[in-house]
Order: sequence, then C-alpha cells, then structure tokens
Amino acid sequence: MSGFRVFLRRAAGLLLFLPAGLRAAGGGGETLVFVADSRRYTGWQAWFTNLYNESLAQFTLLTIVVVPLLALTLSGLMGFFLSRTGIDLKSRSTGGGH
Amino acid sequence: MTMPIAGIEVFWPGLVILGLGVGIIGSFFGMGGGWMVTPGLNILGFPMAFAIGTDITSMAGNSLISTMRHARFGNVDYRLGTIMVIGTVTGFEVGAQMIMWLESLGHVDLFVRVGYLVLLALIAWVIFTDVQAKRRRDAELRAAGRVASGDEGGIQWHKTFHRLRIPPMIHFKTSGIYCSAWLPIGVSFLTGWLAGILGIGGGLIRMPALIYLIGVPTHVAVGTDLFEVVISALYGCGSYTYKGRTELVAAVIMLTGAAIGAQIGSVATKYVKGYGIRLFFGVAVVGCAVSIAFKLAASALPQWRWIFDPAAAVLILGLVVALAGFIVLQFIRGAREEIAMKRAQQKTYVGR
Repeated sequence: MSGFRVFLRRAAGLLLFLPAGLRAAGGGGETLVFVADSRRYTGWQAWFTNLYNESLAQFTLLTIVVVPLLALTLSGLMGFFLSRTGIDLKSRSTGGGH
Repeated sequence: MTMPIAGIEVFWPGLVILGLGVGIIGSFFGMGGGWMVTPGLNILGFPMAFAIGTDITSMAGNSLISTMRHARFGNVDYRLGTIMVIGTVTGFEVGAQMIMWLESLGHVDLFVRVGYLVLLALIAWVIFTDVQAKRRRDAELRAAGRVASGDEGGIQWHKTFHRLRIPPMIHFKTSGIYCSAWLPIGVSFLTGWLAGILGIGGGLIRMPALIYLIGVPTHVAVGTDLFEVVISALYGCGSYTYKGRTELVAAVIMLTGAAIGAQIGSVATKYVKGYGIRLFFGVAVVGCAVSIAFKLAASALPQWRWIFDPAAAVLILGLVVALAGFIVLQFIRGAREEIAMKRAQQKTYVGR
C-alpha cells in the first residue's frame, strides 16, 4: 500500500506541475498550408496530387477507405501464409488440437 | 522514390523496414508506436510536418491488423474497449483543448516534454517494482513448495479500485473482472486527457493503466488497448489528412511491412508469459524516456544538439531493432515448439 501512496503523490505532483509551468512560457504560431507540385507528375500521381490540392475532404475520404481496406487485404494474405506453417491462429493454446 | 505530396526522395525499403519493426513491437505490446515512427521518418528525410500524420495513418492500418489477430486469440475485451473509448475521446478532447489554450499563452514544448518524461519514469518505476514484487512472491511460494502462475503476484492496486461499488456494476467477461463502470470510464478519461495534453496516441499510458488500475490480464490488456488504438488512430488519420499533413503513399508502403510485423508480434504473445511482456514493455518505456531526455538536453544545450539529436534517434532505432529481434526470436522458438508438439501428437494419434 505504501507503493500506491508514493505513486499517487507523484501523479499529483505531475498534475500540479504541468499547468503552472505551461503558464510561465510565451509566444504562439500560425497554421501552415501545403500545396503538392502536381506539374512534376503524370498519370495516377498527377491525379493524386491534384486531388490533394483541390479537395482535402475527398483526399481524406480516400485515405480512410484505402488504409483499412489495404490492412484487411494484407492481414488476410499474411494469415493465409502463416496458417500454412502449422501454427494455430485461432487459439492461445500452444498444445495440439486433439 | 518520390513522395508525391511532400515532393521529397525517400529510400522506400527503409519505410518497409520501419513498418515491420513497429508492426512487431506495437502488436506485441499493444500500442500504436508513434514514439518509434516519428524519429524513424525524420531519419529517412521526412519533414516533421508530414511525419505525424503519416505515422498515425499507417498506425491505423497496423493496429487494425493486430486487433484482428488478437481478437482471434480472445485477447480483445470489446465491452471494456467500447466503454473506455467514451472516456478516452472525452479526455483527449479536454486535454487537446487545454493544451491549445495553454499554447495561446506561450511555448509549451519544453513543459510537455518534461511532463512526458516524468510520466514515463513513473510508469517504468511501477512496472519494475511490480516485476520485482512478483519475483519475490514467486520465490516465497517456491520455498513453501507451491507453484505461482499467471498474472497473480505483483502490484495489485486494481483490487482497491474494485472495492468501489458505485452503480452500474459491470462484468467484463473476457477480462474476468467485475467492477463499477465508472472505473474504466475514469481511467480512460485520465489516460485520454494525458494523451491529449502530451500529443501522443496514449497506448504507452493506457496499457499499464489497464493492467494496474483496472486489473485486466496482460494479454487482454494488449488486445483491448489495440482495439482502442484502431479507433483513435482512424480518428487521428482523418483529422491529420484533412489538415493536409499525411503522405498516403508512404503510409501504404509502411503498411506492407507492418502487415507482416503485426502478425509476428500478435502471435508471439502466445509464447511469452504475461510478466515477460510487462518486463520488456518497461524496457521500451525506459528507452523512450531516455530519448526524450536527450531531446530535452538538446533544447537546454543547443551547442550540443549535434550530438544529442542523433543520439536520441540512434537510441530509439537501436531499441526498435533489439525489441523486434527479441520478439521475432520468441516467435520462432514458440512456433517451432508448437509445430513439433503437434507433429508428435499426430504421430501418437496415427499410432493408436
């Protein structure tokens, strides 16, 4: 229990320390806008960079669709190859299935 | 290879290797691994503006693969994870708003880094104290002629929190715990708030919080934490991409390596006992803390920046290589034993 008290004391110290320190600093920053140079590219890269420059909403939609889809595909592929090795991929048990 | 958005040349096999390493470590310890990827991307020549968004986008895919594998092993407590998402998102937003308000008052980088360092030191102290207590307890049990197993033994703070009987009480079947719903909500709010303030994913904080404050078994903590990382990383991916800070091509390349690594790391948790995972998680936390200390030293002593900055990067990448190597070795050893055992059982079965 004494270890727990020490932990709580240190956690409380951290919480108290942060805001006080933060208030002591100064200055701020501005948001940067990035533009991809689509003139350098042809084909899919030109389409890709133009999409980024013209509509970040569509580019975001493309990203949040592509990433999970690719992850699911790669996961399925890797699972297929790994299951060929004979490792049981459905249970935490390391023994046989009989 | 040219990155179309950032317009820079990048050594693409480096991205695959980085993805592989983070995939292995992240899926083994149950974290996104932003602290490993960002310096790695910097070394590969990525501008800082794109490093975080690209990192979080590949993290979304990587954690999804790991969660699916852990779910097959029964390591994901969906009920707990879903309840915790509420606290995490609320806490994160409060933390992020708080840091924006504080930013308007002044530069906060130094104080955030010091806060992060203190927090990591605390986590490392908790983990090593726990491992030491477990060893002591196991030795006592052995001396008494009994055998200790599982996660029982070290720090048991969660038992104190489980005594809080504030309704509604919930039974988390996969984790095997019965507690007030306010416990995971409160803990996730706290970890989310810290993650929001520190500008990190939060896996490094949430994983020990799940174990020590809620009492989730180590393997389930890994899987459940990854489930939360999927949701937060997808949110972060959308947010950063909408701000134009994601190099999707790089994230996709990293994901090819991460797909292999995530499978290796997830399966390796079958072969390493809970306390083994905790101990090496502690090592990862110490490595992360030391690298942040180097960054702080570089800020305090700019004339020595040329040595502190590369030292921090080398330390983190060295740690990634060492931990990934250790996990791969455990995976190979465990898989060999499992396959050999199955073959022996098949022979016995045919022999009958």
